[in-house]
Amino acid sequence: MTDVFEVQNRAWSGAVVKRARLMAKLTQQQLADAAGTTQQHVAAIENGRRQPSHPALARLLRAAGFELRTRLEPFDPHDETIEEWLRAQPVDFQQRWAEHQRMIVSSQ
Amino acid sequence: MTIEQVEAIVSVLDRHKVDYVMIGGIAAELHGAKIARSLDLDVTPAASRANRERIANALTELNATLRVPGGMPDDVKVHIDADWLERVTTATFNTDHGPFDLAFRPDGTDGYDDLVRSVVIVRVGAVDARLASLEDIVRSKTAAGRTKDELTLPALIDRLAAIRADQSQPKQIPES
Repeated sequence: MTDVFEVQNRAWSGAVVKRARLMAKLTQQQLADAAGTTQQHVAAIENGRRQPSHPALARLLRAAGFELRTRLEPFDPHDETIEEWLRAQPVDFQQRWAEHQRMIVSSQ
Repeated sequence: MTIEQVEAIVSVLDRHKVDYVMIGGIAAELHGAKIARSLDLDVTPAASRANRERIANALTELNATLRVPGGMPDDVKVHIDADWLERVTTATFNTDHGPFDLAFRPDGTDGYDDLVRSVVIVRVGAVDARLASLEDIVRSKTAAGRTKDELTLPALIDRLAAIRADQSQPKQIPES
């Protein structure tokens, strides 16, 4: 089974950039212009095809009027228990669920 | 989690007259947000003693067992009753209808009394589900700030904007 944490972490920076852009009511082109990059680069980050460095991420967020702040929290095992539950389900349920996830991700 | 499982859990909560507001990914999806389906149903129950007793009865009917990393050891039995629920702020269960979680005070909120002010009723199969508003779900997920919350926020903000745009449209008066 795919490591869900790995998948989530790879998608994280793109989601942060997209949220900042939506909150700032900017198009990808407008954000790219403000950050001194290209629309294609912003799109690639938002859909997870490219992983920005921390400075590059900060630059994009600043261009949208935001900054990233950090706090460390104790690890929450909630998703591990959900993964364990899923692995205990019938294979056809796991396959249908995985297919549903793929459909949602590919439509975004 | 399937919609049928959501319906089944909500019908048990209703049968036991539990005061609750649904939160999390399932609630967001029922608001129309296009996000990956959650495998667990999250609710915020009212924290009163009477409601904790009702929740405990509902959990019994759902055959709820604690969901912990690595599974519960066979020799550990936890009796889930109102007293036990008094001591927790969050609890995760496996039930006959899938994973079911309680959060008495979700991040960024003051709990049931805070969320119920803008509750939204949505039909799920044959039952009415009581959802936290999408604004409150966004508020809570933003405050939680976990990676998985961040992944859903763009879709939730998109959906919120669509709902607001729809509400701002003048409604046509049907012709008589």
